[in-house]
Amino acid sequence: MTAYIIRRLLGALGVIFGVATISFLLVFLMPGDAARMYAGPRAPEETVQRIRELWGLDQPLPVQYVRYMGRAIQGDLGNSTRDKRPVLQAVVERLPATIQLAVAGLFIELLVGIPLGILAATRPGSWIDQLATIISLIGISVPQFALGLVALYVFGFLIPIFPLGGYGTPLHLVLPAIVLGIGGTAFYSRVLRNSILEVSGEDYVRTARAKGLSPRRVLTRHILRNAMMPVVTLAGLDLALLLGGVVVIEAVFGWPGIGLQAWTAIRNQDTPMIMGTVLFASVAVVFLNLFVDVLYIAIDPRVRLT
Amino acid sequence: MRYFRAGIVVLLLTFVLSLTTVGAQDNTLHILFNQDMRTSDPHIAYETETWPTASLFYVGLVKLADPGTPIPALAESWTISDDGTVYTFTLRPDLKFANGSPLTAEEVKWSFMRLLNPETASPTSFMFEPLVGAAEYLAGTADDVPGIKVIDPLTIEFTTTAPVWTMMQRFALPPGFIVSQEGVEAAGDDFGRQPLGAGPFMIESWESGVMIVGKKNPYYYEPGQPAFDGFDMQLGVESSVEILKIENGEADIALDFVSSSDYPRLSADSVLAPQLIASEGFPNTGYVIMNNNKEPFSDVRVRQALSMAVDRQRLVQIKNGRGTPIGGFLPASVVGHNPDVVAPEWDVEGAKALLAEAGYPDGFTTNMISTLFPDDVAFAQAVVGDLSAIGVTVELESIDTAQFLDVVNQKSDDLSLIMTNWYMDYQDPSNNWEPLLQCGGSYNWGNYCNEDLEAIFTEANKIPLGEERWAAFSAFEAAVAEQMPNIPLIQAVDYYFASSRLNIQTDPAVLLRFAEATLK
Repeated sequence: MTAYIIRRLLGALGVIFGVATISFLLVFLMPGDAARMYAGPRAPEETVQRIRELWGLDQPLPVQYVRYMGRAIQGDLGNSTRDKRPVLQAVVERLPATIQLAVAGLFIELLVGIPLGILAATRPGSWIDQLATIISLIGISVPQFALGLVALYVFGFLIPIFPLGGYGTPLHLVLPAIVLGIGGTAFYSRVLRNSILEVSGEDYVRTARAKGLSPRRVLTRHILRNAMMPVVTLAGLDLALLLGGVVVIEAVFGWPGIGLQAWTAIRNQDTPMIMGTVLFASVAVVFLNLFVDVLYIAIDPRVRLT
Repeated sequence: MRYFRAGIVVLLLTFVLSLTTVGAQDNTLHILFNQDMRTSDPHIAYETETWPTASLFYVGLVKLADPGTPIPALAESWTISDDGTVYTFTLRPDLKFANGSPLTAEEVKWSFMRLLNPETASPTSFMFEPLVGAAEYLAGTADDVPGIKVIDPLTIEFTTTAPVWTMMQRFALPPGFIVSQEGVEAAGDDFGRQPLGAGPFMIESWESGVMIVGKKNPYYYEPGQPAFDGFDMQLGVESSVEILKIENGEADIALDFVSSSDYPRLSADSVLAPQLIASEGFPNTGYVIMNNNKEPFSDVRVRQALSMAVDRQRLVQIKNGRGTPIGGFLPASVVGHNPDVVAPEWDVEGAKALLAEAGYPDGFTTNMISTLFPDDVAFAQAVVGDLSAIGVTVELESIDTAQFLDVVNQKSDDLSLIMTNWYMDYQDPSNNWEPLLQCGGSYNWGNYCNEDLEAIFTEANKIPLGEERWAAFSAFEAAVAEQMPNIPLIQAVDYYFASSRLNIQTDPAVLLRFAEATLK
């Protein structure tokens, strides 16, 4: 197990290095000019040129790349070209908000999605199954920004139970987490429903029923334990993606997460900040993936290390 | 038990409601902004949100009472030499920064030297480049700027290489704001978020993307100002949520202009409409740049035909009536504007005839770029439609601002038409000519260069501010309009939305007068 984890860790570092290199090249290829974005449209060309020289943007790509990677390996991700702040500090500052929203969103997804999926699978065709389908449809088809704005208008303005966006107290978290969660709820309930129906046909389920176990016991002990496997995998990857940022929700609710940070950086050609947020997202995806794989081995003895 | 539970629920709801009713009745100024705030550093700021933010923490030697009239701020008086090159300011005695340390002529000089220091990479340093030695210092070839001289602790003298009659307006803008050396050195790269100046407020906390909090600066030069104990600025609030928050009494003002989608509802509501504040203090003109370097735009008849083909009233409608058509290079509200220079009549047949006269009876095919800002896209589409009516087929490409700026600054010959707009830095006709239409101007993306007009401009610009100058510029505007170097569209008016309790005015230098704002 230890050797497996070490091997995977080394592979993970390789992936992150690859992501860093590719994203650096992509940022370099992006049309636009960080110095011009910093100076604004009105600044004369001489001013912009001075800024380019000051930041080393006039250097050829290989020189910029080696400089960047050299510093990054030592933990220095550089300073934002937009607001001059150290990138690492800016990313770390956004972490609490990002993690809160990601975890709360995932929590809602699972909290609502799993029971809905079970109900839909155990009573196919019933009103609960139909309700689950309707919620799924709404969650998947209504754009998050529309859902977010309506939620804010209804529960923040008409019936002022929650704050009109912002960050700080647990109350601020409720609406964005619910709006974020609704889309995922639909997804998880459908996945779990199909997974349960698939597992229900297995031999060991029939055997369990034949033994005379109660339907509840068959469901919890035999069906769910196996049917949950895809949900665990998806939840791990989902959390990683959510940690990478949810731009739309963050923008609608004024949530200071890493998604908005990345979006602002891209729009301003803020190369060090783009690199910082991309690196963070790739680290989150790679390590949560690794974590899910390890967890998989722990919960499903049929999975063997290869 | 049932009553007990119900009681708990009622208590919880009351608690929740009390949390959400943010006290707009307190003595704190609640400001909102749509995105994260990039900086408060007045030497770095150059946006419609960073300038007013800088003015919360900083102030300069003078302010502007109206676009052309400087009034005392940190300086209590000043003299200007007859030839318009020497500006001598006398500071108020006992000035202090917000941390209580003294602010004398030495600190003023240090602040201007920082602005001009190439290491600062200030996008607005060019406004003080006319000072003697400033260009050399900016280029890194000199150690000092002889044009900034400390005479005594309360007197400082600025000398320009030639008369620049708009200098006093520039002193009122953020590049002229005085920053504390102590503050800059202590904060280093984070100075944008740890401001220290002598403005109406001082920083308490700055949480990126979340909130900026400030309290009243006890050493502010004007007794009784600001009228607030402090301010908070909530960041990253979605535009339509900003409106709801202000309506709800949770906030006082947003730094964002009211969007085209919110304006109709607000302006039609008799209660809310008086809370709209027009931004007449800083005129914004929309126009289409034509690439004057190449055919067919090098022909004045083609330029005039294109201008005649544009239905400007429709553009005003697109802005929900928030604007007036213009026909010259100056907004109608700026002194020096010639009232006889009006928007050309919308005349499709006349435009076709002019095009035919220029040798394009069947029109031609060309291209246009714009940013992705909704108003820019809508304007571009409208103009493209108008031009097709006279046989001019335009391929429109709307692109992100970063790419847009990169493309237009290359001043490539492949580009033909550019949809854009201009907010004046200071309200003098020269600010609409020098960057936009002067040979080699920094915003002159159409490469317009007319030596004859240049000569007239140079003469007009030598005249001190006053009636004689405005008359000269008025004549100049008429001469420019004949040449139609770009297609003037409309002068747009943007609106702020403020709470019913806030009494605030717009400012020609920093957009909003926070120091002078009061509660009704």
